[in-house]
Amino acid sequence: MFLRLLPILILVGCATSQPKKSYDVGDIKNEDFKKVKKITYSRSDDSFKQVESELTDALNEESIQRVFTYGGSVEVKGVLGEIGKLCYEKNFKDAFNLVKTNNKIYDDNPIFWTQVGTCYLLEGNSRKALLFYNRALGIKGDYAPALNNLGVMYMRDNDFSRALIAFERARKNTAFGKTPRFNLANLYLSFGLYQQAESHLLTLSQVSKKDVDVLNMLATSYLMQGKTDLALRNFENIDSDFLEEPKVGINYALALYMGGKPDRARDVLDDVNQKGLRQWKNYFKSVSKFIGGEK
Amino acid sequence: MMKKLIFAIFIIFICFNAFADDVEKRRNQIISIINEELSEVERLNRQTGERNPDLLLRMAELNLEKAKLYRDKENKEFLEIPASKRRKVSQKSFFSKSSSYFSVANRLALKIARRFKSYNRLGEAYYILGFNAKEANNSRAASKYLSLATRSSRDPKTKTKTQISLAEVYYNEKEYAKAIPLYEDALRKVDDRWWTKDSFNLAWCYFRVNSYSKAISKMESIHQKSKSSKYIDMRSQVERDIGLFYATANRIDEGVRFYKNLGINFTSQLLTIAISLKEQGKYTFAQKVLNQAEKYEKNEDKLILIYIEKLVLFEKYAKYDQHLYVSKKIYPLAVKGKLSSDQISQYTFQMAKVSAILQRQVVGKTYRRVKKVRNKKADQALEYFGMLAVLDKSKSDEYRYLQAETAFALYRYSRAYEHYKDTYQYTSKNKVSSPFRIKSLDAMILTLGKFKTPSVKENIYVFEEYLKIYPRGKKSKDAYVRLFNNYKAKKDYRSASLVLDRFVKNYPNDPVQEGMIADLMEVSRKEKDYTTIRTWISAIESGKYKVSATYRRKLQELLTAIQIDDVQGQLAKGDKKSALVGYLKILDDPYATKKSKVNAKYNLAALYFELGDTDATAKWAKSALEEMDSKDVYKFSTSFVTMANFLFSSLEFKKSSELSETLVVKLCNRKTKRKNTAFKNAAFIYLADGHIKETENLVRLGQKCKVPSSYISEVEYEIMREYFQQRNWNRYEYYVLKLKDASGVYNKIIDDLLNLIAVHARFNNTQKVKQFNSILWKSYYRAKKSNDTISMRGLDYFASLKIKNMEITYNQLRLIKFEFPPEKFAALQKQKLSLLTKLTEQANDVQAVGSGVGIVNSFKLLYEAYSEVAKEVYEFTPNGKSPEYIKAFKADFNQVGKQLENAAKSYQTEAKKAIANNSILNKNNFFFQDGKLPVEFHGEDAAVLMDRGGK
Repeated sequence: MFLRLLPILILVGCATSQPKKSYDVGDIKNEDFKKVKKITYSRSDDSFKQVESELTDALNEESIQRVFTYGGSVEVKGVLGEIGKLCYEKNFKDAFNLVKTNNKIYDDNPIFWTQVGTCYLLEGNSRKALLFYNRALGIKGDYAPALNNLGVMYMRDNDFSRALIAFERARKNTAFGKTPRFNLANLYLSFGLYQQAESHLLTLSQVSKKDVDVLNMLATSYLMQGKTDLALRNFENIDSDFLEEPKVGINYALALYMGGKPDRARDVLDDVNQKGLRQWKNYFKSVSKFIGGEK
Repeated sequence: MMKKLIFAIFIIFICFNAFADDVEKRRNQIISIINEELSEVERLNRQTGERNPDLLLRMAELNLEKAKLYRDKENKEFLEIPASKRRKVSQKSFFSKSSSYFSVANRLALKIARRFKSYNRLGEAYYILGFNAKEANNSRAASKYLSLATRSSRDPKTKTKTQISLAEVYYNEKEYAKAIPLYEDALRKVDDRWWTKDSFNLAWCYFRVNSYSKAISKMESIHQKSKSSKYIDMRSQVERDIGLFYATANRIDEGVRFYKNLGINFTSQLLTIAISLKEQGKYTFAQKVLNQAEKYEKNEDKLILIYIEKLVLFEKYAKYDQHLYVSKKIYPLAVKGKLSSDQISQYTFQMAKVSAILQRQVVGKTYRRVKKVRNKKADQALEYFGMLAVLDKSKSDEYRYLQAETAFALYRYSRAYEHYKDTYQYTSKNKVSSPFRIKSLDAMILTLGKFKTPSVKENIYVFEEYLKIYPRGKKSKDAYVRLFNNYKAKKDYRSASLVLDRFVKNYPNDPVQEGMIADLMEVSRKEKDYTTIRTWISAIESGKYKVSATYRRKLQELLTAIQIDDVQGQLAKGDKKSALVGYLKILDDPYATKKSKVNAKYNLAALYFELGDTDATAKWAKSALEEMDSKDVYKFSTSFVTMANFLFSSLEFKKSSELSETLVVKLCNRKTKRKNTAFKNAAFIYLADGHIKETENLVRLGQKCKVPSSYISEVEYEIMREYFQQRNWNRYEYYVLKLKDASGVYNKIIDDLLNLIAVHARFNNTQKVKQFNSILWKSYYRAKKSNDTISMRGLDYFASLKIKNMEITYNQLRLIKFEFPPEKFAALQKQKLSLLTKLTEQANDVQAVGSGVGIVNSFKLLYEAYSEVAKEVYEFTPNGKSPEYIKAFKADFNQVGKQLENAAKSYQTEAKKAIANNSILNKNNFFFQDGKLPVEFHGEDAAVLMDRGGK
């Protein structure tokens, strides 16, 4: 682990609208040296308030990653939100300019540095992401978003054990946090641990009505347990636009088949987007074979 | 009758002659008369055959008279000879004539005394002998004969005469007590004209034996009788001496009355007495008389006489205390001009004489160890010189100087200095050419040097005066410096600088000026009076002052320091813009010192850091670091780390790393955690920014700088991972091999060994596969033994290898098919069960690895094996056997199948429990689901990033 790499900065800086990499001496004014007021961590800043995205509603207060995937809208306010938005939009240049401009104001703010880490992760530089997540944890050692995102990084490295530990640590450090639960449920379910997944999913379902992933995982969990009716009920609450997704369509088809609707099952399976199968490929074949819809 | 007649003539004649004008003539006349009588008496004597003692006595008397007369003459003539010649004259021959008559008289008197022992006038013969002895200063003989004369004289007059003569002998012999009764007795009996004269002697005898009352009384009687012509007039002698008697008897009032009645000034008389006493060597009396005179004298002029007489007396008898006392009494009178020129001469002579004596004593050896006395004498000398300086204008400079010298000799430097200064000032005003002017000035310098506490004011006075006289003398250079230093001590820097200018005017190329300038500049520097310093530097630059090249360079350094101070001042006032510009100017200044430049660079870095200017912060911080010495680097290392962090948080990764790396270089020889932190920061940021070569260089630096091996290994591990990401297998393999034994890392390398094995397997590098497999197992056993963590992937790998054993067993099991005859069936059955047991044991071995994957997969194999054998048992039917046999066989054999089936189920249950309890993340978990088709989910790529902590 690369924790607490850097000592916390003790000096202050200034903020301007544009990042100033270098100054012309003639343009410098004494006001430029004025100490900026730091914005430190505040719980009230640590949630999204203006996210309109029904299909991701379970995590809208905490994560906007899926909003950009599922077509919701995010109205961000302030530098922190703006940086996140720009990074999810892959506009890294502007995002990093904002970071450079505001790094001194948010020097002691773990939200800011987690956001910077996420930007680098989204850009594909996991080492830099790791440095900034660690910087956030250097400021607030139990900061759940940074811990959660480290788990995401481990998932991407197929280091599921470490991912599990990271998500668990994140969950323990946020009593009402949803994203770590979501990720834990996803991880457990990916390895057939439906019982462990179910408890988190039931919690998430209480705060979610339309969240595609929550409904899908909960339905799958029921399906693994042989609770076909419950599974179907949840699958059917999923926005139909998402039935083509392999992660939804394959198990929904299986549930329909198990629920005595083989034709409908085969239709659903037929509609699954086979170009996006990837890790679902073998399973898709098994299910197709099982329900007689193999092509 | 004749005898009486002769005597009568003789007496009258003498008296007559006593009043004659021509003494010589009368003497000759008397001698002539004596000769006539002597001739007649000698004739008669011869005629009587020398048997008549009266004639012999008369002859003796006449010779005696002749002798007296000639002796008077000879005395007169002797005294008339010049003193120088008188000493060469033989007295014996000179007085031979008178001596011959004395001798004749004496011989005749002796003849009478021998021949005529019963002679009635024998006392007179003895008288002649006594008288002659007295004249010949033979007191002893005189005393003898006169005593005989007194005893044997029958004539009262002769007896009285001899008593008086004997009294005179005693008087002359100072045997006053013996003289007194003789005088008293004789004077009771006679009252002739000589009474006053003889009583005068008696009065003195009284005085000498301290019978003052008798003495005074006698004197008063003498004075009274002297008024009568019947007596010799002794009034003048009485008036001369009675004052002494009164004075000595402490009866001055009576004396005053005595003299007043006579209309004579008593004090004048006393003065006269005193002089007389003094001349007699009677110091005590003389002093006593003078004291009395002083006491009663009211007239200032006469007092002066008394004082002067006292001075003479005291000087003569070395009574210097009194001498000074009296001198001081005269002084105000002298100053007022009350003394005549003679008196002034006497007075100053006295003081000069005594002061000279005293000064000799002060500087001499005699009193060196008697400090008290010596000091007293010095004080006295000082007072004399002081008075003399005022009174004797012609030598005033000398006396003032002598005062100083005397004080100096006694180490009284402060007083000496004052007198030297007085001398100098006096001579400067009144006698510029006096040798004591320069002497006193030199002495002032010397004396000031002796002061325990230097007097800045006086030093300045002296050196200023000195330099007025000698602006460019031999000692002037030193005087300028000392004057300068004194002005400096007084904090009168303006005057000090004027001294410097005067010095430079006289010694334009002298290097001493450099020190003076340096002193003045130091003052300005301490006062932060930079304007003045700049003025100095400008003056030096313009050539007004000459300084060495080294000093000129130092001045430039000072200027730089001032610049820094200026800038610091601006910083302190919050004018950071000006401070920043100031530091930039220092860097442009060709004379700025290295230290100033380093300071400026560091401060520029700090200021640009405050501005948030990453480029400038990085530039100046790195530059400052490179030029700073190790000590300063360590001191400011926290700041540099902060700046590096600022660059990192400003996303200037390379700059941040380079700054940290420079910090490592500068702290290389120090054992400090800051170096290690900087090393680690630089390495991880380099790597994150993709600078793998720079990271490797940094590792080499770290090794050279003795960064702990744990830090080095950690960074090398990350480099290795980076090469893996880059698919740079050679470098990857290099680092794997490098780290395979490194503690703290070797166990983590297991994953990488697996990677390398896979890579080499893909490239058919069997040797390499074998090599890395060997390393892999060594690492595995080392980790197991040391209880070090092995990654899940590693554990899964080692479990999977053991699973392969299970798979072999499982395949062997599947290859065995039941068949009859019964003996063969029994053997096959035994074989199968044996393999199941082996499989179970192998499963335990797999699960001992601790891999989730191993646990699940081993359970899966057990479940499958037992299930399959159970199924085979259920499905086997012996061929060629009766239905009853088969029924009975199945009944028995199905029991076995059931047991196997139950065993399979129990493994399934255990597998589910293990998966759930251990949260085993294994895709084979799906296998243990209930239902016809295991439901799978593949959300490995669906983890969601968390942007906020939530409500």
